[in-house]
Amino acid sequence: MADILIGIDVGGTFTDAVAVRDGEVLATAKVPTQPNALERSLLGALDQVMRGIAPGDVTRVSFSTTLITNLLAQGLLPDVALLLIPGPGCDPAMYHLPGRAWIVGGAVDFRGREIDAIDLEEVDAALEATYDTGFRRLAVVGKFSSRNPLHERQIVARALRLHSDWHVVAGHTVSGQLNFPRRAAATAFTLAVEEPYRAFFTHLCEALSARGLTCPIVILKGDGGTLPLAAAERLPLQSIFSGPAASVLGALALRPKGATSVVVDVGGTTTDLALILDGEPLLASRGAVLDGMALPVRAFATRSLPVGGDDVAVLGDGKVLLRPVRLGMAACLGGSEPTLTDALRYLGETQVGDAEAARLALEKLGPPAEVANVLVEQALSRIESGIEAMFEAWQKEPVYRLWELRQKGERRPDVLVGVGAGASSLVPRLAQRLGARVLIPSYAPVANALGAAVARPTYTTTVHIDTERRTLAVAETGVVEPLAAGRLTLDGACVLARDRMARRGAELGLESMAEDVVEVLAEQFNVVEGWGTVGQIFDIHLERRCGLVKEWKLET
Amino acid sequence: MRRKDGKLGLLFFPAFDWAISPTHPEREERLLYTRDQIVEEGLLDLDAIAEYAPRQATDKEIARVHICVPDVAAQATEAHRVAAGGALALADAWATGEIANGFAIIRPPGHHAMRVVHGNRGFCNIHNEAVMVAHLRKTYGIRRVAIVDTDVHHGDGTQEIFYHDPDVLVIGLHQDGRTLYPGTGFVDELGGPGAFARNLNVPLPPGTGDEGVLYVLEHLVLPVLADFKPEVVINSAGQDNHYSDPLAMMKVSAQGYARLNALLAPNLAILEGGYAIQSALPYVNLGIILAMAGLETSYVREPDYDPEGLRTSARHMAAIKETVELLQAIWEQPAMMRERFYPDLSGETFTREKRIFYDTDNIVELQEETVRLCDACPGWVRIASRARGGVFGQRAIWSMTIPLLACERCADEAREQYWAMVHTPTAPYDYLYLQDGPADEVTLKH
Repeated sequence: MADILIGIDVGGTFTDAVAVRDGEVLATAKVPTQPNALERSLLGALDQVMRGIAPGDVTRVSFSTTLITNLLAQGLLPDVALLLIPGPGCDPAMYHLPGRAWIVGGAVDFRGREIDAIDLEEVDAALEATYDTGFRRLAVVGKFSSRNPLHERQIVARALRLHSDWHVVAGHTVSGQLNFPRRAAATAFTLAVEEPYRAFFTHLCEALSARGLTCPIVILKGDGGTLPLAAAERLPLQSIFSGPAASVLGALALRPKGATSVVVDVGGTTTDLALILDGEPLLASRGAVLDGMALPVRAFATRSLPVGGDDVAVLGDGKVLLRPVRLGMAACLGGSEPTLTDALRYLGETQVGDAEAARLALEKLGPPAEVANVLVEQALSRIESGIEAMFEAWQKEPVYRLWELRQKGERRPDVLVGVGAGASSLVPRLAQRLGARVLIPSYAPVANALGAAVARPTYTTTVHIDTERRTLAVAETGVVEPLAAGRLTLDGACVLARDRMARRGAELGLESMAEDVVEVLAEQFNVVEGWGTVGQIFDIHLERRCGLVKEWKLET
Repeated sequence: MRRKDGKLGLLFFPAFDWAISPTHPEREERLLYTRDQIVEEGLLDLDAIAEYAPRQATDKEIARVHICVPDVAAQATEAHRVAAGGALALADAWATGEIANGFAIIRPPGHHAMRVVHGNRGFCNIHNEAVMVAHLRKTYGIRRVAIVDTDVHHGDGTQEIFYHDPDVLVIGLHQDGRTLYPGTGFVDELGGPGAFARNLNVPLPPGTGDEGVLYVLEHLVLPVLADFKPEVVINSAGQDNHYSDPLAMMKVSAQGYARLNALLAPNLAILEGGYAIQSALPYVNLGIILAMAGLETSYVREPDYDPEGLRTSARHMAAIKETVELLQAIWEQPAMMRERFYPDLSGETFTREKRIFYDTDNIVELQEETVRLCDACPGWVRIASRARGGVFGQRAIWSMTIPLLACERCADEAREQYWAMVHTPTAPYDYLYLQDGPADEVTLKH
């Protein structure tokens, strides 16, 4: 009875859990989420699903959680200060950043060359001012610090020499991607959430081992991959948007292989969409956006439409209209107003609730059959335009190379995968309109937990090599290493990048998955000074993409 | 429709996989550092900026402007189509009111490409702005257009394509043609008889800096634009007036470029040349983007920026003021000046001869261009062109262009001439083209 995988998804309304083995779902559980006691909700669902399972048979427990998103939404940030080294370029005041910012001089350019040194007197004064104002968490972030972290390191060392009782983090250690404001926001957020995040997972580990669960514990990231808990502690932001990721992974686990699918998650107040193109879930080209702030975190491109089962029906100008407003439960479930759910109940598309109550509520607006059909049509056309807009947005995404432009053809969904509570009632009709096949997996209501259970680890390695400056920078770790002398070819650069990827895998506890690494980008540029080539720049991006653990076999 | 408030549309297509040759200035790396700068500054995350993706310009869209010899496929590679398609995508976004203004950072450039294209000259095959103007006219009914070319090299392709078009005002600011490629762009190149003073060249002495360029803008360009009242202002935004450019000798800074674009407030800006890819482009592009997005530009500064060393000398300022005065006088009294430039216009047509050199492909072209003089429309344009060199040896073509707004008499006359030529078995041409604007089609006969 070994090899059991447990997946738990802590959602906004429900916490779901599943236990799977050999491509089979052994048990499922669903409990209401208590927003102020996530741990209790989580353990409640876990205990239900573990009934009849020996803890020793569980080989992995995976979580997706809204914890970080909730912590950030609760506004835990005022105690983080930013010390910025923006150098020339944009006015730093134009950025929308969390926390109070101090600005000091110094500049590094796109090649990582030091343009202006920092002024230690100025830095000391800024550090003292920050400390004296009462800040004990400080994010030090410089423009182009991922190409050369010198100034950030100098200032962090200075800060710790002045005071030992504060926590100072350099931006390049949080994100090595280019994008100064994102790096600054991510560094501040990381400082703000790391303590409660660590506390939560410490409690969780204790609770799990108290239950005899000694297997690896992993968390789900926004890009649909898992990360061992120990590594996740250092990278708390990676777990934001793991909820939508879980639902996409769930659909991936339950859909036919290789198709272009739209995942339609119909809930009470929103319908969430995600795209799977040729079997690959689409990532948001700009990364995760939280509270209007873009972050250097990979996340799936998802779109939330204001269409849900609780949408209420009203009369406007003598016409029946579906309004994206929740006034309570559907009439068939004991509410007072007619809703989309009532329309679906009346039409027999769902068996939930009281059909007679649905009919009575709809009758207030006109002949119930007519009213119900009008409401369902409105919901369908809104979702349909949402899907079209999503494909259009994908088509319009900027590309920087000719080959990328060539790849984008006209594409339309082959399959609609319905997950969530309202899936089975609305998605089949939607598929008919779009001329696509429909798939409502049998475990659709707990697809998120299933997604977490069967997700495999993901990680990326982005290497920027400058042979003239003899530097090799790894974006994910912010490390800039000196490069050995000698000629380098593109193949040689890829070998270096793969080696750094293997090292990073080992650090994260993800050994032996090199065979699944995809070379997303491998580019070489000549650096020309005057009329001669003086060096090369190589940009290599390697990914181990999201996917399913091999223990999971696809339904077809 | 078009609006004044709203976002800046940014279309960035660096063509990281296209070059003329590995160390040619027009190579893959050209916009690499600009990309790094734009991304690191987080510009694409700002609410004031929306990023756009290019599309491929079609044969038809390119053939509205160019007579590609023998056909569009032979002259327009995929990279050229995407660069022109980038300008088109941005023009659509502007014309439909999605954006307040747009900046297309695209390559390869286009402003040296002329109507007839036998090959590549000045790194250009396809004229991105001209293809965009033809699209704006055809699709959105725009008539009056102003193109302000701020590349250091004279935009001789822009001048040539619109030389007989009274609805397109072309103003070029560039380093004096006596000292720089392509060796043209003097004050006396003022437009054809039917479009006189619609082509204004401001040759600037080598060593001109921000002060000199901004003087021309404030004292000539802006007042002339205010008079002309174009429906769209396009900036051919070359960046090689920069003090660090390796191919030219000017002293304009990123601050100067930012100020220029803030003053000019173009609806659409299209990148042209600029080959100081590390010392200028990242900063100049940033300055232009911020200025066009209405954001603070005062923090933009090159690492070696030294305003004192970049001053325009008093002697240069005096020369620039003299040029500006001359052009002001021409602009204000075009009829009188036209008489002096074209003293004998008694016939129905006006003919000029041109010798065109394609530096990149080493082709020499001899052209005889004839324009129909008409009071009701811009008149047809007929070109007989012989080219030799390059990879094809020798070629002779004959073309007839009917402008979009041609009157019926001119259009009929032009079509008659074309078909008469087609039916002349002894005509000494390899290809015969009819570029029929009103019918929106191109006919090619061998």
